Amino acid sequence: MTALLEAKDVVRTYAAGGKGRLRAVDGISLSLAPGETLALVGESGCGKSTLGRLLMGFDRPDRGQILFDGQDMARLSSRALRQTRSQLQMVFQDSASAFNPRWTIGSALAEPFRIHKRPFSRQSVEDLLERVGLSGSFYDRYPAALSGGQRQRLNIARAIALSPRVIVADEPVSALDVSVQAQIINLLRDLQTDMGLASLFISHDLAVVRQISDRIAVMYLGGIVEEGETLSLLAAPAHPYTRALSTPCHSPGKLSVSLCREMCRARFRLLQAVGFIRGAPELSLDAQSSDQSWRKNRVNIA
Amino acid sequence: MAGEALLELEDLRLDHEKAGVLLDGVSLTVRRGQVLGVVGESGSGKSLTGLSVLGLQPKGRLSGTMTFAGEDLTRFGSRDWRRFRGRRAAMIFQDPMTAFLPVRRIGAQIIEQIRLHKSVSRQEARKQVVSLLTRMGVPAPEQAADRFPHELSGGLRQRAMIAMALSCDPELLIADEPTTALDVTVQAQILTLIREIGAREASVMLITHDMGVVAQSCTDVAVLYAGVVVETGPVTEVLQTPLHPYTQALLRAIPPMDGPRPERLPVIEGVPPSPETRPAGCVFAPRCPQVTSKCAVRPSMRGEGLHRVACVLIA
Ligand SMILES: Nc1ncnc2c1ncn2[C@@H]1O[C@H](COP(=O)(O)OP(=O)(O)OP(=O)(O)O)[C@@H](O)[C@H]1O
Ligand SMILES: Nc1ncnc2c1ncn2[C@@H]1O[C@H](COP(=O)(O)OP(=O)(O)O)[C@@H](O)[C@H]1O
Ligand code: SF4
Ligand SMILES: [Mg+2]
Ligand SMILES: [Mg+2]
Repeated sequence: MTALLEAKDVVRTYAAGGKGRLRAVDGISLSLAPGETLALVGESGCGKSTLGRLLMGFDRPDRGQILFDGQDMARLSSRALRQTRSQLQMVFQDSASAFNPRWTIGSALAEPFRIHKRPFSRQSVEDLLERVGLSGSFYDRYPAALSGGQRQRLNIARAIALSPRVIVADEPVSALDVSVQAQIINLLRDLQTDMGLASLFISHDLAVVRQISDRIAVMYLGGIVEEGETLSLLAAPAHPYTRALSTPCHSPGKLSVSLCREMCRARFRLLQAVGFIRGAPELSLDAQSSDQSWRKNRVNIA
Repeated sequence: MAGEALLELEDLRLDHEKAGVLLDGVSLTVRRGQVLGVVGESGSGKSLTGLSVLGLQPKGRLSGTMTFAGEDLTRFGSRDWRRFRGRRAAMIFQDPMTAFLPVRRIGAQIIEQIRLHKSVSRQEARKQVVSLLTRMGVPAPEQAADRFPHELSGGLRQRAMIAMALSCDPELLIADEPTTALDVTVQAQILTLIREIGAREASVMLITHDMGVVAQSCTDVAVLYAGVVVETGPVTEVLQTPLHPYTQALLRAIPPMDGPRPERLPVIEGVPPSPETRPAGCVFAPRCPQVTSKCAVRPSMRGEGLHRVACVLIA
């Protein structure tokens, strides 16, 4: 099957102080088929969001190509790019800053319809609200009236408003309560079957990833270290990071709590052992220092 | 002292002038040496509960009982609150940037907080800051104290905020979603730290929407729904044998990590009620699969021992 969205040997570097460049995305090739959900997992700072932004066309790679429907996004005319934009939507990680506080929720949700000159009605916007688990009565209210979790639902509603073909979702459910999380996961799966919605799903929660994705790509230090069909990858993870993370501890309903605690501790130790948690209290180092050691590893002196 | 009730909320209600009744029966107890998880969906009133304990809730009529080490918090005036906040109970938030002024070094800010409540010299306060940061697992604490908030990573900033909150040895630490904004590996570290604080330094009220966090870090849990506490008890009992239909539904909605993938995750149909639509009877009734005519009267918290539930099914 031809890819809907594809990255070909993409590199993105950032200035890293001095003469060095940090290779945030270091030669990644990845493809997303129509209707497919690909999960991107990996530790903080490994480049997931950078890759997501590149695939969205928000950011240009230093090297390599991003293809949408076989076409190089860097070469699209501005009209074709606008057309592409309506088919590619992003769910942002930060829901608080995603909305203009002076717009009602109704007008915020109507905005994508207006920009892309699509028909809509109050009823269709209210339906959209209810689709993400918000009451239609929020239509005339302002984002400030929403709690953090409710705002994130609104964010997702806006992304699906135009029935896009691809959604890039960066940790879209990590801040949501489980019941809403379950609704959103079901919703994304419905959209996938109903309209062939494809998605790149960036997450750290393997239970969520297991439920939602067809394939998983594991990212480490700017590269993809492991990729495969979801259930088989989780059944036999090869990379130590995946192995450590896939130790189950997400089902307090099923596991006994002491067992769950034990698992978490085991997972924690395992992560330590493979060097992924450098900030464990006993080791008295922190994410900051791990960030820096990564920088060192990844900075090429120009 | 362990096991003795430190904070007791009984039927706490908050009636907001514009928004209506935001809290409608919050009953929970934080005992000494406990980490009590306050878990609930967004908008259920978790933050408001935490804020009320510090007298920081939005303007409105607060009723019910709120007792802290025998003192009646509902009778506190502004002077009492000033003496209470930071000293006897302190709060930390999801975003540590909100707790620190961006333009001042974190050490200086913690020193200020210490000297607000204790008459100690600047040098002595500085020593305490370094020792606090050390205890919080901050590497190179001397240097860290001289950093500006934005110069620290998210995890370090969160540690610094916890250090500030603990600077005056409060008896209660209220942590509002302290790890939600953090990466999963850093999250594990901060939760470990909070669990240790609960065991050694102060009782903790850990506000979260994440059952996994509750399972990992709390000794007890209170489940909040639409401004009402519907179930409370030791974590083991509540998570292993949830009695309230809402708690049961919540646990079922977590995707499984083994076995076949369900076609659809079980969800709770409908949405939580708003203050205007909150039923007079059981708040969960409009979404409850086991609702009966008996549920038209608001059930009170009942149960044997520490595991208590507000549901007519539980005698
Ligand atoms: N200052 C305020 N004025 C009016 N309504 C408010 C105010 N603060 C909160 N609310 C409302 O009170 C309810 C509970 O809010 P609260 O912030 O405690 O929820 P929460 O459980 O902490 O949610 P989240 O997890 O999303 O932060 C919500 O319906 C919210 O809209
Ligand atoms: N605008 C930027 N300037 C400099 N460095 C950046 C910028 N954006 C990201 N980085 C760095 O690139 C790396 C990858 O970042 P990111 O894509 O945000 O990772 P993730 O989403 O996995 O947390 C990190 O080390 C980060 O610090
Ligand atoms: S009181 Fe009735 S409606 Fe409420 S949770 Fe129990 S059975 Fe369901
Ligand atoms: Mg990111
Ligand atoms: Mg809150």
